Amino acid sequence: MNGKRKVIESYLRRLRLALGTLPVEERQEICRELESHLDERAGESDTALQSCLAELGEPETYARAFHDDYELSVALASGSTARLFAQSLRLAGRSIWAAAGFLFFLSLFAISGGLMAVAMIKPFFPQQVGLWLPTSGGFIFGFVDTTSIAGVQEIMGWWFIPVALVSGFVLWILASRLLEKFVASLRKPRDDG
Amino acid sequence: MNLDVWKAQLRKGAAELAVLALLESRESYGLAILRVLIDQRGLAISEGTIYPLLNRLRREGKIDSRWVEDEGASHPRKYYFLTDEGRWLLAAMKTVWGDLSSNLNALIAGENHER
Repeated sequence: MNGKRKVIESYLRRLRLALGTLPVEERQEICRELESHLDERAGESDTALQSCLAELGEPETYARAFHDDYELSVALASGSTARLFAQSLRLAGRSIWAAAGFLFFLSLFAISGGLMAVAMIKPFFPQQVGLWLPTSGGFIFGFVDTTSIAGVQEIMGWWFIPVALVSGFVLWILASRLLEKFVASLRKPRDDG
Repeated sequence: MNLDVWKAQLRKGAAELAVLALLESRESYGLAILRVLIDQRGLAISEGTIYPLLNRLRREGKIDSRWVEDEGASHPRKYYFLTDEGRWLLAAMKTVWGDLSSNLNALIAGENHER
């Protein structure tokens, strides 16, 4: 029993360390509950504790499930776009779905930020910022090289500023809402098959 | 579609329903829940996943817990029970599951019948 006790204590010590970023109270609860579980399993038979520890895996790996869920719930509760975005980046390395989502939101925020940025530099470069519809087709939008718009009339004038600002802002809000839904969808129980 | 991926997705939702359903009639602790559910081979519930799952359900407000000193146990056990929200949610999940499985079973049975 003494040997088992040592094994349990060493596992719990490593787990406690691995759970480092969780609030103290939560860390203690998790360890105390697992200690109770391990003790009970150790009392069953000589091999029960070994097979239990094998199922749990390394404490560092086991801790990750608690850690992930905690980080996600904090980000979701805060409603902070930056935190949610950071979570999708963190999980992007773990699954293709999270990585695809991260890239999608990265482009949405980039477009939205870009819209608001060009709106704000329009007063300083009125000739180079705007919307052009060349006769050759398509459109040229944003902050451009004047040679590419030679002979073409800008069509928005000063309306460019409110239109770009509002659409950038609306896109930002939409992307933030969507990001929240996406991060919530990442919050799934770990599946070890 | 990869069968393993499909199975994993199916199990995730089912594991949550199984735990909530188990706690409906009476409160229980991790190892006891595990002993019942580990035999359900279809579910992805194992020693490594039970506590993270319980922890998530508790954080989401579906279950709550209390420490109990059971007679004959060397350590206090953490008992989980359904919250009002969990109870409400379980009822809704049961309906969804019942409809889905009976419709699917009928569909699958019908297909076999035609062959």
